[in-house]
Amino acid sequence: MSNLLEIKNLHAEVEGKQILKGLNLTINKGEIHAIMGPNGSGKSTLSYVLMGHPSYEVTEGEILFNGENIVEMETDERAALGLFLAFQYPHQISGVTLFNFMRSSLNSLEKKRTGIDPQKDKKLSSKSVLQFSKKLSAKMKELGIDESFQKRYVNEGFSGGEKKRAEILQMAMLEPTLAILDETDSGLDIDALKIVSDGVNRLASPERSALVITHYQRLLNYIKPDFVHVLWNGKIILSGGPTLALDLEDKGYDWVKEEYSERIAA
Amino acid sequence: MKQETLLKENIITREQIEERSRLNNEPEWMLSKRLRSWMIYEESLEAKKERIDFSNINFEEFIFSEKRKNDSSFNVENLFSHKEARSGIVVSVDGKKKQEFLSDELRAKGIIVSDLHSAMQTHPQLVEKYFMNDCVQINDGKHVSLHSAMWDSGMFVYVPKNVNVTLPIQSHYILKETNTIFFPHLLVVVEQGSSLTFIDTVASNDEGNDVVVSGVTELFVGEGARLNFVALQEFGENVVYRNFKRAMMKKDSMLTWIEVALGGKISQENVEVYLEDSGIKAEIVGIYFTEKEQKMSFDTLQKHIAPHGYSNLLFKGVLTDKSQTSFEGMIRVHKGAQKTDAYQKNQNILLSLGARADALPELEIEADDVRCTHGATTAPINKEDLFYLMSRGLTHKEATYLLTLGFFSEAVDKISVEDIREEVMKFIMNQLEEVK
Amino acid sequence: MQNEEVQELVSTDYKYGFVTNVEVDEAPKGLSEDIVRFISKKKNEPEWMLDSRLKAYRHWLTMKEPTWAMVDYPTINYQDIIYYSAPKKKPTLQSLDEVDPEILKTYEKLGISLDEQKKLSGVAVDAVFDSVSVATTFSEELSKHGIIFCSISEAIQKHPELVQQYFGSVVPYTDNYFATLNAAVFTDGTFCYIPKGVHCPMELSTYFRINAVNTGQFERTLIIADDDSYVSYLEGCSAPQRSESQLHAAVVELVAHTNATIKYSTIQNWYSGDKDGKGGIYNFVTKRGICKGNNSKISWNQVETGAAITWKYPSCILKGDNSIGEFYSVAVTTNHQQADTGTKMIHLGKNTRSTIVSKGISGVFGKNTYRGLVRISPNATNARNFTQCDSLLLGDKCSANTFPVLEVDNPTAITEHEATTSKIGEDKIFYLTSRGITKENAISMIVNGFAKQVFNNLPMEFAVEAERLMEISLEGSVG
Repeated sequence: MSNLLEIKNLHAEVEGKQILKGLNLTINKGEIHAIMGPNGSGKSTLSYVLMGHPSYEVTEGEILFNGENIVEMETDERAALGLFLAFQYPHQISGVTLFNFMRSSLNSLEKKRTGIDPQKDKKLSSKSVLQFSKKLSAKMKELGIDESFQKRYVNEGFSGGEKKRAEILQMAMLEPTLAILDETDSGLDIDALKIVSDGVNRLASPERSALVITHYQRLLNYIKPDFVHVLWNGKIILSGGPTLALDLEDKGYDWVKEEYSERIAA
Repeated sequence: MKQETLLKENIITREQIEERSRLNNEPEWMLSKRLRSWMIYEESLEAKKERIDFSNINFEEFIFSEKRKNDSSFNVENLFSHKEARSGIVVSVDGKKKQEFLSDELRAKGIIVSDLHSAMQTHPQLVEKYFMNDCVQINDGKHVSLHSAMWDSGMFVYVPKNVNVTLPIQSHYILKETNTIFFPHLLVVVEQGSSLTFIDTVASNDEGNDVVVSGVTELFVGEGARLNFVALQEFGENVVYRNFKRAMMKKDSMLTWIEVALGGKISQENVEVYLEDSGIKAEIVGIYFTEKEQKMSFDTLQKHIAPHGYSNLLFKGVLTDKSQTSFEGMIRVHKGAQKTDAYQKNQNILLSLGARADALPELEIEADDVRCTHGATTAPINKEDLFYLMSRGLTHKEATYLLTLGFFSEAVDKISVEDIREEVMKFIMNQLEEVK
Repeated sequence: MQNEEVQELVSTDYKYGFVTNVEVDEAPKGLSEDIVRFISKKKNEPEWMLDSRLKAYRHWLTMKEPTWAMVDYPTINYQDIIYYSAPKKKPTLQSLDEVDPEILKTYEKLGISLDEQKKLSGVAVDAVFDSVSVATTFSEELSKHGIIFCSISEAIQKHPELVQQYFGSVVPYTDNYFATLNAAVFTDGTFCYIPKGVHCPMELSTYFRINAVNTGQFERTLIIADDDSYVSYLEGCSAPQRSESQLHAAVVELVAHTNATIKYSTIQNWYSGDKDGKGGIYNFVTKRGICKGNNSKISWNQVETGAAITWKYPSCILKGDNSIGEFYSVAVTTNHQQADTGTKMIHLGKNTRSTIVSKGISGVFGKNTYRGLVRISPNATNARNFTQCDSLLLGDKCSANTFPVLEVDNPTAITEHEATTSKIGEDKIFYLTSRGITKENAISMIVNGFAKQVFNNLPMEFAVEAERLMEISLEGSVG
């Protein structure tokens, strides 16, 4: 089995404050990993650091993606490698329609991956618009998103659940090799949760992996992880199988705190 | 700019104004209006210091400088190939009428689309009634006084009562000559219960010496009438431009005013709306994109004189290179203009180091039962938005491009004429391609 | 809501309008070089101070009174003003016991008994009565920390090197008409120096009162916070009711060095004139602070309920990198009051931040104008400004104006300006009265809610007083 993502001794800070303090994690192709942890443990920071948010600085360690260190890479270059982040708080982009946004994304990714600008080739372009439009409509149908959303501005006036669904739609369109879901379950009712999970599960394949970041076990009833990790004070202090999530649900984070106080403090 | 010493004889004289009036075969009232304006101009003090400085441009000097012909490649024929049909088109080059078209149907309904000089002969009462009387006045500032003394060309558009003009009427004002000054005058009257979409395009090539344009625009929107006014300025880099524009609105009328400023070297525009009676709705949108060392300034006024008025003004600009803009907006609510609802917003994005945007959003409120808000923001492209787009694979440049288009679309979407909307968007896209 | 009711609510009488009978030592009316010399001599000033005054006076003669503000008032006759008036008893006091009991009573009436303050609240007070500082509490205690808190006259005598270094360094004598006049004839004021690394253990406070007839008050305040220090300073003002208008032209200078913070809070309750607009204080004040060092902070907080005319723009020059400027203001104008107030935030350093929150409340014939400038200079990379100015209108004859200027000369800067003007919400009044609250209280509650953001920024003792003052300005019998 070959590994897709390998994080070695990762230290990262934001605005001078150290958040990640020596994090190690390996994800192989085809695996689904869940990261759980209390608020402020560094979960969202990890997702931002993986995607290359400009405010977060890696001070030590490596992030290897298919064996290549991506720490110095621009965000869009990481996207071209196949990383995808479903945001906890997706941004509103005024004036840019979802249709236009996704089309620009796919064009840009294709240009980076193949070196050919599909928009420059007229024949290719018109053909791809048609294909693109069909694909977008199909995926929207799958996720139960009304087709009118294509013409709406990205996330503007979307409800919480609609925003999360739009994130999964983008994931479905971009077909990443590693999908990072940052608290995608927060604020979703059961129906929406199922739709979102179905979207993630549909993408599963022996070539694709996912990193599910969540505070609650609930989501993991729908997206079955192969591994569960507990992140605390910027490090992974505990790893295990799917049952670990259930233990956490059962005994709460206080239990971890008592049991592993040394690892947390270390 | 050429700084030739002003010769003693290069001073406007009574004789010159009389000559100008006589050559145009003008009626007596017009000559006397010119002369009164000239007197006001002569007596008026130096114009107040403006944020965008015009002081090194001597407008009078251009009146006496020797015109240069420019073999501009501007293709006038293209102007007729609009995607969306027009019910009327007028093309003038260097202030002279070149082509004119008005559908027979509209002509039969009494609609007038004519150059101002001809209109003075064919419809003397109408022109006398509306020309610089109630709307823009000859003492509305030094530049306006000079304009009304010296105006040289113009357009008169008149829609009589209860006529709906469904397709737009468009004027193309093209400049080819340089080293001179033009004083164009636009007069649009939409009478009670009528409706009109009017597009005023002004353009020139980038070539040659400086040329100055000092215009006045008067818009009348009668009771219950609707006017859709689009002004599109695509002058070349050699143009110094001023235009004093004012709309007078009557009871229950509606106005959508889109002001697009893209060209010119220095430009200053007054955009004023007078809500003279109750139940008026006015929407004013400004779009500007500046580059190189361009300087632009907008002075806007939403003047609420009567109760139950609504006005909403939105000016959006993107600045690159070393360009400068100034937005000075005023909402003035007079005593008794109760239940006024007025909004004003100015937003700027600075894309380059060295660009500068000033914003002065002002309120003067003398009525108590009102709702007035204004806001102004100046900021770079939002970092989080950039990150979001880049996480989906767009490069920094692509993301900036898309976000800038998105920034404008709120304003551009308000242009009701499709081909104009596309033209503006295309222009912005081309400009953006050039930004580093 | 009937307009008359609101008008009655907002036009109650001034409660601080008593006169104190104290024997005074006065200069003759009028202004001349001799008067400037007289003041300087009275205060036994060194040569350099007199020179500085004379330079200012000569410059003032070349200046014109500014007219750009949105305020109307009759021409001020500068020769009809008494420029120096002091209680006869010498201001050099050993303890509070020596203060004229009449003056002490005055302060008690104002609710700031020095004695009580000393015992209970732990606020150090410097009280300025007409032209001189009459008492300073807690100086001794403060001096243990190396803090200098005294009248400016005393500082000129005892700490000339500090005064010479900073006096006029933020507001130069050429700054503006009223500041120049102040530099020539200032009579007293407060001086405060917080040494390096000292967190001032108590709130420092000055209470200004104009008492004598026809006097102008020209106080001068200078506060210096050295590296890593902190000080919170409170300023209160009042004056008796008189039918003639009186001039108050103060200058306040603040200097914040590296990592220092100065919080300056004002409750201004000068006499505002009667219902017909007769009398009242003309309040022309120049207040400016400089954030000189990196990471320094200056916060202006003001509640302006008094004065017939207010002309005042407390400003911050954000010179040090990462420095912060704040302006929180509530201005109430009722009857014939006029206020033209606001702030200037001049961003020079990198990562400088400023926040402006201005709340204007106009009633009856009141005229309230916000005037502000936010300037982002080319070097102020990543500067940020947020401005919010809201106006509340309580009558149909009052007016509210907003004149902000934003100049952005750096593409990394983010500036946001928001403003609203609206009538007091009838729905809100209805909602509150439907719960059994009187209209008068409902209005008071709504207005207080409107101003809450600013009150929250005031020190505790002041916040309570500010709310009470607002109630007084708005209270009254509903007909």
